Amino acid sequence: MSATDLPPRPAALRFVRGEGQYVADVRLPHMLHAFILRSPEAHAKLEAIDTDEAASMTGVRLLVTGTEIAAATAPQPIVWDLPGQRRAETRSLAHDRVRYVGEPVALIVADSERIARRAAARIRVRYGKLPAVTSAEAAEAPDSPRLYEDWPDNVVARANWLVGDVDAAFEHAAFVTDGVYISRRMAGLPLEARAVLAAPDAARNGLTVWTSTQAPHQVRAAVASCLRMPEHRVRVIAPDVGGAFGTKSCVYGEETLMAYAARKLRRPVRWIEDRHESFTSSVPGRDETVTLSLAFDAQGILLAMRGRVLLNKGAEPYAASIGSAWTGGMMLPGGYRVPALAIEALGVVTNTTPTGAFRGYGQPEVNFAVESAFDEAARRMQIDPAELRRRNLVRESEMPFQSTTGLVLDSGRYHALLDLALAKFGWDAARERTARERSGGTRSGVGLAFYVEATNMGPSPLCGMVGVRSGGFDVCQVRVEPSGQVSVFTGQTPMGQGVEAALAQLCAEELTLPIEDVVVIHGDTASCAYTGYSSGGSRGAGVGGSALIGAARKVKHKLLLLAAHLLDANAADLLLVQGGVQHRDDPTRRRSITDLAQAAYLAASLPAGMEAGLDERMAFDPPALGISYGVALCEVALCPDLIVRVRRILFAHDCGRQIRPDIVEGQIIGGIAQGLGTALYEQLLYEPDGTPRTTSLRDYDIPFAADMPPIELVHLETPSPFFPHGAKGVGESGVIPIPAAIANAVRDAQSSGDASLRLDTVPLIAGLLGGA
Amino acid sequence: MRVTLVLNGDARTLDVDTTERLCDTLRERLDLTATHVGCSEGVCGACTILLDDTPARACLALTVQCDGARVETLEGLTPADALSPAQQAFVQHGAVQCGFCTPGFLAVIEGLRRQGDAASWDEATLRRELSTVACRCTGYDGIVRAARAVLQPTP
Amino acid sequence: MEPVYHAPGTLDEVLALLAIGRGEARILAGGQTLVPLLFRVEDEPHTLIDLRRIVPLRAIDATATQVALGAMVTLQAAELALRTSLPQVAAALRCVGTAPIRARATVGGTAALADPWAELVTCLHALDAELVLVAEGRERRVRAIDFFHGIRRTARQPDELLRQVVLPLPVPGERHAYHEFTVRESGGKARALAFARRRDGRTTLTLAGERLMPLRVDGTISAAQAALRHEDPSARALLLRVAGQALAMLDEETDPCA
Repeated sequence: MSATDLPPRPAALRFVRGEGQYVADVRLPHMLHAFILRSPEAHAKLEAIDTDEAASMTGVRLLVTGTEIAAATAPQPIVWDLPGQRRAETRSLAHDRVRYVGEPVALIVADSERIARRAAARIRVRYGKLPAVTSAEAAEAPDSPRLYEDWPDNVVARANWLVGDVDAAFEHAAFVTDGVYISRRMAGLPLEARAVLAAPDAARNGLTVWTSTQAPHQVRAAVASCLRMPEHRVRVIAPDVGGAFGTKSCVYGEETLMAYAARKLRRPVRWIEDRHESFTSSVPGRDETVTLSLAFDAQGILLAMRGRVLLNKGAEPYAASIGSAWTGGMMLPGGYRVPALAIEALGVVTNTTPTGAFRGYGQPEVNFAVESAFDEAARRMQIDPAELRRRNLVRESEMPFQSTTGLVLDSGRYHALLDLALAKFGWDAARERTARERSGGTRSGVGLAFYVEATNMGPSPLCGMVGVRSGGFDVCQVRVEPSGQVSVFTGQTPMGQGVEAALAQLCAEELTLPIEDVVVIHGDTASCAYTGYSSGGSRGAGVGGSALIGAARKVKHKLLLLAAHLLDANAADLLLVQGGVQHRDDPTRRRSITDLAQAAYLAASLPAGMEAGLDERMAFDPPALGISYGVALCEVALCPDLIVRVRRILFAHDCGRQIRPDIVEGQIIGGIAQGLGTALYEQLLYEPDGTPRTTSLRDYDIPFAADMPPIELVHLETPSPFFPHGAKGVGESGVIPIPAAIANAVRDAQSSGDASLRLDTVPLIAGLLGGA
Repeated sequence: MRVTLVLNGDARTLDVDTTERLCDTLRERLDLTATHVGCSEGVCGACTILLDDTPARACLALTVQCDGARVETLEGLTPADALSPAQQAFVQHGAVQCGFCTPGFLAVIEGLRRQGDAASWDEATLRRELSTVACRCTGYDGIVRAARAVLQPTP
Repeated sequence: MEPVYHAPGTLDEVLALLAIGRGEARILAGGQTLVPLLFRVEDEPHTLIDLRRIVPLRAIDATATQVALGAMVTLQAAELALRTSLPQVAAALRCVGTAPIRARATVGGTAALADPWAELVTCLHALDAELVLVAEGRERRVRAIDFFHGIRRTARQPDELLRQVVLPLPVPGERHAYHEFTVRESGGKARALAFARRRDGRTTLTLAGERLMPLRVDGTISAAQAALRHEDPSARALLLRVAGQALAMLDEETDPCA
C-alpha cells in the first residue's frame, strides 16, 4: 500500500481545522492560574524566603514554598532504579537548597497568570551561594563540589559489561582507534511546551489532572504517591500532545504541584510552561561523553572494544535515572560482531537541569562514537568505510544473534540493506566526484553510518532486571459496540506520531472492517487500559499493536463461536470476511459483525456458557526487543565560513513490517531533521558558574524547512519473529545515525584541509567555531 | 481598553487589558484555540495569524495595537463542512503530525497565496519562505509538498 | 498594575506624554521586542505610548545625499526602499528574523530597544548614520557611535522620542559589503556581523557579534585582529572570518557558498 492510498489519520483531519485540544485549550469554570518562581542560582542554600508582599496582592490565591511541600508531600517517585543507585529526596519545590538554575522555589496561584507573575517578582529569596559544577568530567573529580552531602561522590549509578580477554585482543591488534566522542546537551523541544491542569473531582473524591505527557499512568502513580492519595482517586488525562520526543516521558514536579494546589484551593489550577522557562524546567537530553577504543586485526575484523559512557545527569538522579547511559552501554556493539568488550556506563550529578529522555536515548551518542571510530579505522587501513562495516556486521544467517552485551538482534538483512543503499546512493561515484571536487578546492565529502535501534521496549523481566519500576507489557481492550463498530482502548499515547492510526489499521485488518468503523480511545486513565511503560522506547505500534491483535483475535474467536451457534454450523467451517462471518462453502450463510454484536448484547440466544457482550482484552509482554536497523549516507560541502551544507541524505532502513508506511516515513524524516540539528547546531550551553546561556528559541537553533536537504528513503521489510504483526519500532531510527553520517562526511570533506578542527563533538558547530 | 477587531469577517468590540497579547485575546477571551503559542517571542511561528492579509505573530502584537485591523485565524480559514484546499493538501501529503505548528503554516501559506507570486518559485525559494514556522515532527518534506500543491497547482 | 495606554494622533501629544511620563512611559512601535518583555513582566511601565497613529513617522524621505527613515517605518518597508540606493543595507535587513517579524518590526523600535548587535544597528554604525531625537521644544542629531551604549541602553533621554534615522547615500565609487554568520542556512540570530565600506579610497570595517557591540576599524584584517584582541579566541576567530568574507565581497560580489 503506498502512502497516499491510506485513509487519512482522523487526528490530522481535526488538526488542520484547528480542532486539536491540547492542555492549554481546556477550559474549566473557576480556573486559576499558576506561575512557578525558579532559582536563578545554580547551587545555593535557601536561607530565607519572604512571601508576605506577594501573598497580600489582590488576586493572589495561594503561595506555597518548599517547606510546606516537604511536609505535605512524599518525594517524587523513582521510575528507574538501577542496582546501587543513589537517592535524593527530591520534591516538587526546593527546600533548604537549590541545585540548578530553574529549580522550582515557590508556587504562586492567582486569578490570572499575569497577576501570578507580578506576585512572583515580589517574592524575596536570600540565597547563600555554593560552588557549582556543570560538566560531568568536573563532577567526577575528587575535589568537585558535591551536590548531595550524604553521597561519597557525585556518581548516581554505574553499570559494567565485561566479556572476553579485552587486554589480549588490544595487545594483538593490527589497528587500534582511540577517541573521545561528545554529544552535547540538547532540548527535545516539542513545539507544545508542557502544561498541567489539575481539578478537584468530587465524584471520585479525588482529582483529575490533564497533562501533556507520554505516560498518563506513570503520572497517576506519581501524583497519588506524592500526595499520599489512593491511586484510583486520581484520573490523568493526556489530551492532544503537541510533540514529546522523550521530553514528556517522565513525571514532573509540576504535576504534583498543580494537584496539590487544586486540592488545597478546591478549584482548578492551570500551569502553562513558557518556552523561556522550558529551557531549564523540561528535561534535556544527550550530554554524554563516550570514550571508545576499538581493536582490529590486519583484515579489519573487530577484535575488541573498550568503552565508557559518561552521562551528565544534571542536578537530580531521577527522571530517567542514568537510563540513557545504560542503554548506550548495552547498544555499543550495535550490529557488529564484537568478540570481547569492556564497557562502563555511569551518570554523575551536576548543577544543571536534570537530563532525561530524548529521542534516541543513548543510542545516537554511542552510534556517533562507534561509526566515527570505524571511519577512523578505515582511513588508516585505507579501505572503503563501507567495506569495513561489511566485514563486521552480523550476517542474516546468524539471526537471531545475541550480541556481546546480551542484546538479541532478532532479524535483519544487514549486508543486503547496506549494499542496496550504497547502490541507490551511488556511493562509489560520489566518493570519486567529491575527491575530484576537493582537488579543485571545493571541500565536499561523503559519509555513512550504520545503526541499530532497540525498539518495542518491554520484556517485563528485562525491565525488572535493570530496575525499571514498571512492567514492559501493554494492555489493549477491543470492544465491539452493539452497533458493530469498534472502540479500541489503548494505554499508548499519541503525540503526533500517529500511533492511534496504526492501531486502528491493525484492528480493521483483524476484524475485516473499514477503518472508519474503528475509534481508538487513548490518554485517559479512567477509561484506558493500564500500561506501565506507556509510549516511549519506540513501542507503540509494536507492543501496543501486538496487544491489540491479541484482543482482536479473542473477539474474532467469539464472533466465530456465536455465528456458529446462530448459523447452526461448525465454527471450524466459518470465516471472518469483509465484516461478517460466513460459511466457507456457502457465502449466503452469513452474519455481519453488526448482527453478531446485537446478538451478543441482546444475549437472548447465546451458546451455552458464553458471556454476554463483545469485549476482550489482552496484555502483551514482548518476548524480546525488536531491533530495527539501517544505514544513512550523506554528502556535504563546507562553505568558506564553515557552514556545513548537507547536499543530500539517503536513509535506508528496515523496521520489520510497516503497518502505515506514511507514519514510518514521517517518523524517519522527522527523526532525520532532529539528527541534523544534533549534528550541526543544537546545543544548550552553560556558563562555568551554572548560568544557562541558552534560554530562548532565538539562541537555540532548530532546523527549518530551508535547512533540510533532499532526502531519499529506501525501505526493506524483514518481519520480527517475536511480534504477531512482525512490526518493530521506528520512532528513533532517523535520529540515530545522522550525527555520525554527517560528521564522517565532514571529516571526508576536511581530509585535505585543516587537521586542527575538532570534529569529535556534536553539534559540529562546537568544534568548527570552538564553542561559539 | 475597548478595541474593535474585524475578526474572521465579523466586527467584534471587546474590552481588553493593555498588555494583553493578541494570542491571549483570541485564546483566552474568545476561546479561539486554533492559534497556538509555542515560544512567545516570534521565533516558532505557531501563533501566526493573518493581520490585514499579512502573516503576523499573534504573540508579538498587543491587542490594543490591532484596533480596527482585520484578524483572521484558522477558525476563519476553515470552511464549515469541508476542508480548504490547503487543509486537504496537508492531510494528503503527510504535513501533519502533532498538529501544533499546523495553524501557523496554514496562515503563512494563505498569506503567500494572497500575495500571489509563489507560482514561479523554485524549491529553494519556497523552502525559504516557509522557514518562518518551525515544525519539530515532520522534517518539513510533507509540509513543502503540501505548500507546493496549494501555491503551484498543476492543472 | 496595567499600564495606561495612549495612542495619540500627533507627535506633539507623544512628546507631551513623554514629558510628563518621568521615565515611567514606554514607547510602543512595532512591538516585536517590547511585547515579550511586557508579557514576562520584565518591564512594567506606568504608561504605554503607541505610535501607530503617527503617520509622519512612517515617512521615508530621500534626497540626493541621504535617506531618512521614520521611526515607524517597518524593516520590510525599509528593505524595499533601500534595495537600489543601499543594497547591502537592504541585504542586511533581509537577514532580520522572518517575514512576519520584518512586516511589523520598525526602524525606531529596533534602534531604541533591540540588541546592539542587530543588523540595523551594525549598518547604522558602518554608515555613520545619524539618529534624530526630539522632545518638547528641542531636537538633536546623534551619531550612531554615540547613540548606542549597550544592551537596551542608548543616548535617548526619557522624554525624547527617536523620530528618524538618517543614512548617508554612497558617493560615486563607494562600495559596501555585508556578511553575517548564522549557524543555520535558513538564518536566525547572527553570531557575527561585518559591514565593509570603501569610500573615497578609505576602507572601514564594522564588526558586531553575539556579545560584541559594533566596532568600527580600518578595513584590514590586521586592524580587526588588533581591535578584537580582548575577545574570546573562538569568537574572535569567527569575527575575523566574517570580516574576511565582507572584505572579499567588496571586490567580488559573488556568493561565496555557491
